[in-house]
Amino acid sequence: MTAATDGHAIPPIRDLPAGRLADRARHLQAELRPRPGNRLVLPALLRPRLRTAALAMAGVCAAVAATLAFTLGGGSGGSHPAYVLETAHGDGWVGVAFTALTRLPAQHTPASSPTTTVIRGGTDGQRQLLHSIVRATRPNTITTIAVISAGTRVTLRMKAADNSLQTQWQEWLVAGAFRDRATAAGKHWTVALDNGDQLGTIARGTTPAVPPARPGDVRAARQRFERAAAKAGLRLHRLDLSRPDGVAVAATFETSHPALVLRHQMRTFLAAIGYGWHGYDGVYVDLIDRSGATVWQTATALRTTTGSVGSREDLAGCSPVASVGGYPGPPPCPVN
Amino acid sequence: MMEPDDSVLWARSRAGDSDAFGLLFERHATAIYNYCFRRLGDWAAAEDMLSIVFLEAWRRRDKELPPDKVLPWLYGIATNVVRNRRRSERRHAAALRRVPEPRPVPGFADAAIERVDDERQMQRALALIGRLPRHEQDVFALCAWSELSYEDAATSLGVPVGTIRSRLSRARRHLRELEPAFGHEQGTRVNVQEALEP
Repeated sequence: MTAATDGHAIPPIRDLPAGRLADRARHLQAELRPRPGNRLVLPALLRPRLRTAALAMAGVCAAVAATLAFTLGGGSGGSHPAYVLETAHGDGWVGVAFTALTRLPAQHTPASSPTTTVIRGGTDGQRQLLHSIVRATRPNTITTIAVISAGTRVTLRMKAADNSLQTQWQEWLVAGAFRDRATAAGKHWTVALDNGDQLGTIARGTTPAVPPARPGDVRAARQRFERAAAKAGLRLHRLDLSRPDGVAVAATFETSHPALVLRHQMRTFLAAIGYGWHGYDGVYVDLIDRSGATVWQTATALRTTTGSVGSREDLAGCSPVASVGGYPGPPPCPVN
Repeated sequence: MMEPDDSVLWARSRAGDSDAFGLLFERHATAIYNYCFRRLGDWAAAEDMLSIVFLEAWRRRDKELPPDKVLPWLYGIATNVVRNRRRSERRHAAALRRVPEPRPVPGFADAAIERVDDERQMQRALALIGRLPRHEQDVFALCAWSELSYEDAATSLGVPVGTIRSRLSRARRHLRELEPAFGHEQGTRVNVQEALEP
C-alpha cells in the first residue's frame, strides 16, 4: 500500500522492525542514566596512570568546575555526566559537551578556501564585534552568523561550509570570544550558540582565565608550537594562528607512519605545548597521512569548555588523548 | 487508568524523571521514526535518528513547552537532526555504538523486501522534493507528509503560522512547476521481488 499525501506517493507509516522499539527504548534509558562508575575505558598505555588520575580528577573537577563552570549544552546541567579528555600525561580536560569520537566523521577535512562570513541580525555593535572576531579567526569556514537577540539573551546561529571538527572548533572560538569581548565591554549578555546540532548557553559570569592577546603573543605562540614540533620530530604541514580574543592555534602535521607518530611523537609535542592548553582561546591539532587524509584530530576551546578527539578507528588505541566516559575499548595500538 | 498527557510527562521529564521521558518515547517513537525516514529515505538511518532525536530532547529538557506542543517540538528537533545528520551522528557516536545489534527475526524477509521498496520509492520522492529550497522542504515534509497543522508546524520550525502557509503554498507551486504531473496520484511502486524475478 502506498500513502498519497498532497498528491505525491510516499510509503505508508510503518512500525519499527520487531523488537527494535523495545531495544531502542532500553538503549535510551541506559543513555539517560548518569554513569559515574562507567567512565574509564582507555588505551592500555593510559591505564596505569588512571588510578591516580581518577583520584586526582575528583579533586581537580571541583576546582576546574569552579573556574570553568560554563557549559555549551543546554544549560540543564546537573545530571549530565561530565566528560573528561584524559591525556597520556594524566592531565584532564573537563566539560559537559565533549563530542566523544572514536571514529572520524565522514567529512573531516574543512573546506580549504577561506570563507567570507555573512553576519545578519542583531545590532550594529553586535555585528561589528562579530566581524572583527571572524576576521581575526583563521581559517574561517563559517558562512553565516544570524544574531538573534531577545532581551539580554543573544543567540548566534551559525552555518558553515562543512561539517568538519575544525569548523566546529571555529564556531566555539567565535561564540566564546563574542561572549567574553562583550562582557569586557560591559555588555552582560547571555550568549548561546546554535550550530545546528549544538544549541546551548555559555553561562555568564564565569569568565575563564584567558586574557586577550597582547602584542607579541601570536609570535610567541608560533615559536612555541614550531619548537615543540621540532622537538617531537614532527613535520608541520600547516600552522594557523589567530586572535579571536586570545590566541588560537590550529596545527596540522603530516606523516607516513601515523601509528608511530601518535604513539610517541604526538605525546612529546602535546607535552611540550602544555597538555591542558590553558592560556589559549583554543587549540586544534590534526594529523594527516601522505594522501592528505586525516587520521587523528583533537580540538579544545577554553571559553566554551568544549572539546573533542577523534581517531581513525584502527589507531584509536594509539591516541595520546582519550575520551573518558562512554568510550568503548579501542583496538590495541599496532605499534609499541 | 488514564495515561498522563504529554504536558504532564514533559513536566516530569524536565524534573529529571527518565521513566516519564520513556513514556514519551514510546508514545511518539513511531511518528518520529517515520518522519526521519521520510526525510532520509533510509529505514536504518531513521532508527538511529530516532534515538538521536530523543537524546537531544533529553539534553534540552530545560525547555518550557506550551501545552500539547511536545510532539511538534520533537518534530522540530528531528528536522534539525536530519538536516545536520553527520554532525548529529558524530555528536552521539558513542551512544550509537551502544545500540544493541538487531536480532534475527523469523519471517522477516518479506518485511525487509517491503522496506527496500519503501526506500526506493522514498528516494524518488526525495529527489523531487530535494529541488525545493530547504525551508520549503521542511514545511512540505511536516505539513504534507506528516500532516501537522500549520500551527504545529510553526512550533516545530519556530516561525509564524503565516510563514508556514506561504512556504507551503510556494512549495506546492514549485513542485507543480518541477513535475507537471504533480497533484495526481503517482503510486507506481517498484516491487523488488518482482523486479528480481526473471
